[in-house]
Amino acid sequence: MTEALPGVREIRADMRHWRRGRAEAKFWDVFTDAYIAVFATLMFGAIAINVLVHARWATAAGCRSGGCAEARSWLPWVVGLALVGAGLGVARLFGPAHTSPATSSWLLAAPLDRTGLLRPRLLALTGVLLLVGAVVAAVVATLVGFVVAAIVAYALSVALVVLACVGLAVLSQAGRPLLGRVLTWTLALAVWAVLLLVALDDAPVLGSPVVGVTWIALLVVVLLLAVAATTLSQRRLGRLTRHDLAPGGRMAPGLSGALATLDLALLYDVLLSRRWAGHESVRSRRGGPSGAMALVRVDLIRLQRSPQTLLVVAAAVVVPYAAATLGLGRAQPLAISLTGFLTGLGLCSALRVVTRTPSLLRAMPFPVSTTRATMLVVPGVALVLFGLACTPTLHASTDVTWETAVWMGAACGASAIAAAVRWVTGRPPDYSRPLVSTPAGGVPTNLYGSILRGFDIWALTTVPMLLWVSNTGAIVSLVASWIVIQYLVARN
Amino acid sequence: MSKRKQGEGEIPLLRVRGLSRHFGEHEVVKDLDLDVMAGTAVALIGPNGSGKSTVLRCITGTDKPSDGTVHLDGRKLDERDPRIRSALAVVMDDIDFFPDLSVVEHLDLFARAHGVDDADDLVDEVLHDVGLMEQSGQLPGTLSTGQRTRLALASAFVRPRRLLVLDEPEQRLDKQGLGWLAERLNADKAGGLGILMASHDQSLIEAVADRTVELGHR
Repeated sequence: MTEALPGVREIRADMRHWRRGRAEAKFWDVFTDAYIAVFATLMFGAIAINVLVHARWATAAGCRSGGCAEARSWLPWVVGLALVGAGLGVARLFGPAHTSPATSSWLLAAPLDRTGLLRPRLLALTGVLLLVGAVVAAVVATLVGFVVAAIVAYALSVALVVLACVGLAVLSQAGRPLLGRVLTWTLALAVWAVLLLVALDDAPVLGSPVVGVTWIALLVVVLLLAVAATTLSQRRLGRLTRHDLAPGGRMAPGLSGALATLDLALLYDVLLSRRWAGHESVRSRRGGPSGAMALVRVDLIRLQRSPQTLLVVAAAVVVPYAAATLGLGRAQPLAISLTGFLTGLGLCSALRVVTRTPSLLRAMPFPVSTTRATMLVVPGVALVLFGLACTPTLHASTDVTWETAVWMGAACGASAIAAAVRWVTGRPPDYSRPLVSTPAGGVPTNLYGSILRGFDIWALTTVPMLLWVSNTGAIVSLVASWIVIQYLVARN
Repeated sequence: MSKRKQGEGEIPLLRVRGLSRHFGEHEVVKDLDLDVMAGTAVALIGPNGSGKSTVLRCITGTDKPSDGTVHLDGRKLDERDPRIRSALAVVMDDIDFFPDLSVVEHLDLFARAHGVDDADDLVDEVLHDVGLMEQSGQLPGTLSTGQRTRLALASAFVRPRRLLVLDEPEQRLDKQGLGWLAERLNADKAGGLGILMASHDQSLIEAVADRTVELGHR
């Protein structure tokens, strides 16, 4: 005798019922317990809006040069494209359609309607991306002085394009991988092209947009595109295989664990592992020098195998130039060093792997400091070259001689690598040490500080150049970076 | 690598004296004395939780003993010392690999980092021995757990060593793999190397170990 199979809705209802059965508190109880968090959120939200409104006037008043006005007028379009690109990137990282490991094991193997199983998580991911995209877009539009109608229209446009991109990412997941890849690279290229335009100080100043017929027509087109992509993607959900769905789901627990412990380096590990999980084999390269230089050669092989890590650093040179157009002045070293630090993290994957895997360090016949320092040769050279490539912006922004600008460029590169080393060699939260008592339970002393990791060294090593805009400042900064790197590579 | 004959008064390759490790009130290892002579293999045996891995971790420097001393070749064992690292090959359960380097590139890297002259030949020979020739171009993430164990073992065999420390090397190895491992370890012994391993596999212990030390009996 065969019984009718239960539907996805029934299974979900059962699971909800079981979970509610285990609940120890009602929603209202939890809500009243969380009143401090609610009040804090409201208070900080009000402060943030107040700061935003004041910043809007301050930035408008401080931005008087032609270059600054031009850069400011292009900012929403750079941010808009970057938001859409980031949304697409995150969506593709997770799948975007994905299932938890438990669902993969138990429910995907059952004869249930796969579309119904996948839809809730996909909707949740899409919702988060839409919300983040719309809020960030609204903040940027407010800062650059859009009128209220334009802020709403702009935020809505960004959200709709993100929605369309998530739909296209599902189609890409369902057998058209090239589509997602091409779209991501096109968006990245578009962001870079606009930044280049601003950096060259050659772009016209865009007027504040007015919500008129053209914009509404464009919105309707984007809406139709989003609806079409979403509808098509919903139809394709049922065709996705377990192989398509499992990797994103497997990554999710690792990411949530990393975020729960604010261990951003663990997040990096998860992403690095995901990056290479899609590759089955590579063309092996053998030979080369012996001793510590073998590690340098392996880093060069990495660059050949994954040139985008270097390409990102090279392409990011345009960011300090665009920042110089904005008129940062003496603060220009901050922009160079920060850009180098953030984009250079991708070059430090080998250092990160040996940091989290002591057995690899143990297998090398050198002192720990030698192994780590050798793994810094390639990223170090790349970031110092990055800093030197930004020399003209230092010469123009800080009115120093070319010689001083070169010293400062090298110091910015060294500062970037010092900050990156600090970030990748960070220790995870240590729960075996004394904990700080908080309403959220025991918290390791290094938990919250871990968010600032890397940024602390970035600030420490660039401050000398802000205090003394001269050779002295650059040399003090270089020495500070050298001391930090020496300490970090030598510590056990 | 020098060969030594075991005899009276000879300095052991590995000398452990009074090794103790306790976690709070719980004493896992107490006053352990252990010698491993060159050209011999010693197996640590005992039930789960008897302290086999703890002993190996204390000896290899990945854990700090509460008390006791460890000497390798007459020199105090400090895993930070490059001479110790050159002499000590360790395969424990914390092994991991670079996600972007292939199987053969890992072995090539280890061999070249240790300054092996004929690295290509040695790597090919070990790859063939561990049965990973076909997987030589694969990334570690695509290997099965058994293949990862073989790669971990291979990483110890492509480099010079005086003492080989293995923690339950039989794990996830099939029968053929176990046979190969026993053969390989006996060849190492014959070459004058010392072996210290923790194992649950009676056949491997019988095939390789000259002496067993039982832990967890009080």
